[in-house]
Amino acid sequence: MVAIQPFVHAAESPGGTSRLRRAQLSVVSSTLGTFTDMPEHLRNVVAGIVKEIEDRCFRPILAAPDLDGAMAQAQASFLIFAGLWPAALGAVAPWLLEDPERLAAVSQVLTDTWTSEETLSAIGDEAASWLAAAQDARGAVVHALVKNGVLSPSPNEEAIVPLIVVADFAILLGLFLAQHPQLRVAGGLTVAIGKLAHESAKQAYVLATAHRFADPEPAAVGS
Amino acid sequence: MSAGLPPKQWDIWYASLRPGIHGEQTGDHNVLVVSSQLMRSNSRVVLVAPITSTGRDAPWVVRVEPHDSGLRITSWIECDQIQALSPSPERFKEFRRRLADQVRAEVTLALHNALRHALPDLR
Repeated sequence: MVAIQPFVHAAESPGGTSRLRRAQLSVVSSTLGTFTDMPEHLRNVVAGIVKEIEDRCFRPILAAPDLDGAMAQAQASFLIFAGLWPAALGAVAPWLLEDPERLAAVSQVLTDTWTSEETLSAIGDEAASWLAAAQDARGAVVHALVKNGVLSPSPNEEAIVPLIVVADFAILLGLFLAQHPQLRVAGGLTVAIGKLAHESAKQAYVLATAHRFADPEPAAVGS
Repeated sequence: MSAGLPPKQWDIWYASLRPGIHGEQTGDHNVLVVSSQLMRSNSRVVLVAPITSTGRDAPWVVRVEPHDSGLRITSWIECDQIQALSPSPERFKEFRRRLADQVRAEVTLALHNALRHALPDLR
């Protein structure tokens, strides 16, 4: 089982929570910029932030000599990510939530990414299966919380947001690795990142769907 | 919740699985019923996911603790080993308990992962 608590605690830290936004529940993707109907200025903003995330957060992780070093660096990188990612989401969320079809399109592009031959060749079946599962759980959280383009209040929101930030971090790192197969990474890193993404997204989904799967209360006698 | 036959979705039963060959779950196992309530009246089988005591780390396997399953030890629900069983006493030997609510959400994700691209996206 992958240890997600250090990441969640970092997201919950005073410096972290102040940067988090409810909009973080709603979107994920470094592929947002691939949508042609996204306004150009918005696409440029997102692309700029994602480039900074890749340079400052992801590349140092890849430079670690082994898995332990890479995961330690991942925790440090996550703190930087938590400061950058809200800016990207804050920029794109209004546009994305304006039309439910856009959200569905983002989800579809990502789902297709994880099962493409190129991705499987780049990161392997095992990592791809964890990341695909994480992506679907992440999408299911959105589906559970967003109704008609509006984010519904959730009693578990404070617990869900940090988990979603961790999931976004790991999913984006997985995408980065899939898109750069030429980069050498520590053995086991890609699978570990996939498990991190899956565990955090899964826990967020469980919180987002609390009570949905409960048995109905038995009817009172005589009612 | 009553515990009679036919088994209900999210019931855990001690059941006899079908014969199989290498890699397939066989013999007597605890199982989780995953088929829809709507199948109960017009299907001759119920769908079950075997529960094992051997841990496996995969997105289609759900780890479940004793307080959530009622079983004695930590177990794993194998959503990649679904079987269709007749809802008869020969198959379903003993009701254990209902699976805890919060684990049901994890099972739905695991089933989705096992059946990726075989299910429509209904979002």
